[in-house]
Amino acid sequence: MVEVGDWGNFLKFLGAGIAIGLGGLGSGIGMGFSAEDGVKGISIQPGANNEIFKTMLIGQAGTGSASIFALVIAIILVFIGTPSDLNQAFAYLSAGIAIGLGGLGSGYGAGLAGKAACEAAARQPRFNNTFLANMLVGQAVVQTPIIFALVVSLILIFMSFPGGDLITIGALLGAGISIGLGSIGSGIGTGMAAEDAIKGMGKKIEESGNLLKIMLLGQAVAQTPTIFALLVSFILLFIGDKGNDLVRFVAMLSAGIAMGAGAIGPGIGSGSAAQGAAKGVSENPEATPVVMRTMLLGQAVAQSTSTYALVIAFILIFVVK
Amino acid sequence: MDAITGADLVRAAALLGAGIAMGFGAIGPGIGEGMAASKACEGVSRNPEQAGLITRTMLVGQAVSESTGIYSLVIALILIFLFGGK
Amino acid sequence: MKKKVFIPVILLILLEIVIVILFYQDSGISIRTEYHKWSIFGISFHANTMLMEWLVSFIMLIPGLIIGFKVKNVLKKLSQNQEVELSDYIPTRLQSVTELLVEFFDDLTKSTLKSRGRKYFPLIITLFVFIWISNMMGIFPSFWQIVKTPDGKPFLEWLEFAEPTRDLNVPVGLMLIVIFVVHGSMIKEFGIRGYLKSYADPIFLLFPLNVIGEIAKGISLAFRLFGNILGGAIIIIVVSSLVRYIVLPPLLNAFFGVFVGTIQAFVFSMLALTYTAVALADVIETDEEENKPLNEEDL
Repeated sequence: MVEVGDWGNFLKFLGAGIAIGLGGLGSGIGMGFSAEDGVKGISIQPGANNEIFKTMLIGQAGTGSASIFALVIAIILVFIGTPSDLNQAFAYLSAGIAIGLGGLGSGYGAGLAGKAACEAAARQPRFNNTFLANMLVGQAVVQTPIIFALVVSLILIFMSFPGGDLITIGALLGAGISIGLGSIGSGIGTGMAAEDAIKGMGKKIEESGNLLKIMLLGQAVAQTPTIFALLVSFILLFIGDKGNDLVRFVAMLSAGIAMGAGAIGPGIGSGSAAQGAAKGVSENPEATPVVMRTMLLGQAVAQSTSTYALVIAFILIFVVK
Repeated sequence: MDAITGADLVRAAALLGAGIAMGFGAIGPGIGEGMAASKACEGVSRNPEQAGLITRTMLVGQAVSESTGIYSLVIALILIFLFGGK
Repeated sequence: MKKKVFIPVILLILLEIVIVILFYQDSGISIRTEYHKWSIFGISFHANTMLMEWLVSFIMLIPGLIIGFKVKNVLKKLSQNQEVELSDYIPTRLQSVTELLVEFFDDLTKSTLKSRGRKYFPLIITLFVFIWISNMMGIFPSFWQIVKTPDGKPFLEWLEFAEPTRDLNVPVGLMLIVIFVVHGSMIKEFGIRGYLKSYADPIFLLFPLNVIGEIAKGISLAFRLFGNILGGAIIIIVVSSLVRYIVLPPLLNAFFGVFVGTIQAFVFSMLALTYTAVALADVIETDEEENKPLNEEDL
């Protein structure tokens, strides 16, 4: 057993700091979005003061849950005992990285949904409750990536990875980086989809069923990159290889970076495809089936770069010896 | 622990480079192709009769913007198999 | 009528809850990476994947056989001048659903490939139905695994209801079919020279990159399906065993099994269709310019 002592605590507290620091960043920006359009809406429509205020507060509460997840992990990390060995210490650091980076995207994205709901409420205050319900559904889907990150963080904290060897440390760090970076893109992307769908509801309330359908479909497909990132992190967590090989340490870490960073672009891109589709449906509801087909095709092609990243990550994990 | 040789260090750097190349190389094409798809969706909604033409144009545009992603894939594979092997 | 549909669904959900609570209790999280193998003529097959593929193919046959026999029966009666009852003409529920699916894909292929749609329609719809039923296999619980053998292992551990698409070999095989059809029809339409020329587009120097681009297309097609299904399956296993007393596993199955499975099956068949359409774009455009009508006799 390797004695870690103060260095273990150092890594643990570093993880806690990263978790709440980065996790708060996204939610902070996102809540600002809601407030921005809430204030704008009240200045245009002072009569709808109550409705807009309610929407703004609930939207901000939904946005804040991303940072609350980060806070939970940070508090656990602060009060948990000193790690017993080097692997455990790095697992704590990695848990912090995962939830911190994960909160960045989901907080930002949920804020976009809240912003659109405030705008819609200012436009048609009578249907405020419809916008609120749809916004909460949209935000719930936006938060799926950070829930994936939360699951990985909890596994990293509460599962035991005994020993202190380079390959396990690389795999643990890689797992955290993969899901952390990987959930940024889908968080922002799904938020963009929700933004234009809810904006469209504000313009054409009678099309809210159609818009909800296209929003959910677009968001579900936009989460593919995050699912790839989660797949890579689980494989890294459970691969169970041990040893002190520098090359394989770097290979594991590099697999995490490749998949994590590789999921950012496709996540945002397929989200923006869904955003365009929502805009299109709100302009011309009759064209919904054609738009939906174009959206699915565009998203599928936009995600091909994330499949390349998945292939590279697999090669780095399984082929490099 | 065995001593780390220079050759090992080169291999490790090549593998790290492969990960960074593919990871960050995928950001641009992903966002770019998404923009193309976004505008295609808007276009199809304005003019559903031309859906076939718009979809084909979108696919060609996406194929071209994906080429940088494919360059990263090629570089990553070269780094892994030419410089990362024993 | 509605109750009839709900009873099996509720039974399935209850069975799933029982299995997750009993089965994941002490086994912790385990993800299968090794497959039970059969060796036939020196080639090893993944036993579970093979069995599941056969099961999927068998399920695919059922509606075709039932509807086929029904139609054949009516035709036979007509040819023998027997009286045909009205109830023979009314489509059953199964037939309506199948017709809906067939018509949808028929429209899709015709609107994309114009006069050539009918030629590729069987491939596209078979891809969709095969992948869709494959992706649905994961929602059935492997109930026999609750029973423990005397040495403490689950009964028939290697045999489980798993999506065959979770095994990388299956998506790669399907991808090879698509690639073979796309490139084969390109060679058939343009000849070997024209086919090779399409790689030197726009200039000769880009030949290697165009080849790599084609390979990358295939890789992304196979890995998109594989990654989504395996990712979903692992998420279901891990999250179910983490929160088995709080969140009901059927919810996870509904999203990752049914919803994602359907979307990915549709995306795979759509992409196969689109790759064909892009490969044959020149021919389809000239057909359109000549205003070649749909040949009704082909239909």
